[in-house]
Amino acid sequence: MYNKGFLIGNLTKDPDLRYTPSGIPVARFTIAVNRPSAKSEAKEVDFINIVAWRRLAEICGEYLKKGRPVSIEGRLQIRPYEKNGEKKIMTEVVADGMQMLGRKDAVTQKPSDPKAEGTAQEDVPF
Amino acid sequence: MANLNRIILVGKLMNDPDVRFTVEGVQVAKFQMEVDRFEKEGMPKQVDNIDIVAWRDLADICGKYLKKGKLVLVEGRIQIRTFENEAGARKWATEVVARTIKMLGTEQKMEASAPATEKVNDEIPGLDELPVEEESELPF
Repeated sequence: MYNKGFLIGNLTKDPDLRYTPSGIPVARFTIAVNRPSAKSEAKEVDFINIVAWRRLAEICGEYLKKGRPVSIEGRLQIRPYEKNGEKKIMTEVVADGMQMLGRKDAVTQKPSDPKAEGTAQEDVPF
Repeated sequence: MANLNRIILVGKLMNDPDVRFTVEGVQVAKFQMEVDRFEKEGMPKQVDNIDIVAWRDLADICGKYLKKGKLVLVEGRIQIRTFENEAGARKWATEVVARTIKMLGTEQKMEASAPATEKVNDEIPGLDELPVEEESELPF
């Protein structure tokens, strides 16, 4: 069957890069995706969990930082798991493509530098 | 930064759509869809059960034409919603809010679409008389 999602949003925190016991890299992070809304309405945001595996996980761990805008392509996965004996459901997008957006220095720029305060940062929703 | 949130799913309905009206009188349909994952040889078959929500006209169409087991294509956006359960605990639900639903499969060909995209689907008069092969209408 077919399962394909496309998302553009900003990272809410730095990616968490780990390795499975068999040594496969896996990166997890959350992106904030604004819902389309009229100017008068309150802004609503969806926080969507992203998982990347193997080489893509390493790239995400190395280059992605909190606040950075990214484009993600992947499939929506629903995974049951147990936490403290309680059954829970985890919904996440398993990425098979990632594209970094925005200026490279948009996230790391110093706030004291007035010239660096470009338009790129103004749109970050937090 | 313009944000994008778009997903396309193809799968089978796991139940008949549950069609209701909100307090304000807006129609809403909910159902679950079973989407097979890419199969690897020697691995057990895995599926994702994804909640779908449709509103207004699209909800009406879902209630009229969709049935359990039907193969459909759903295009929409991923939404994460918080709610309180009976015990008062805060819970999260992830669902796909449908914008377009297309019925697949040969036994019944129907097309449903939200009003915003309806114009695209306007039929050209006389097109029905053309000898079109059934297969060629499928998008893949």
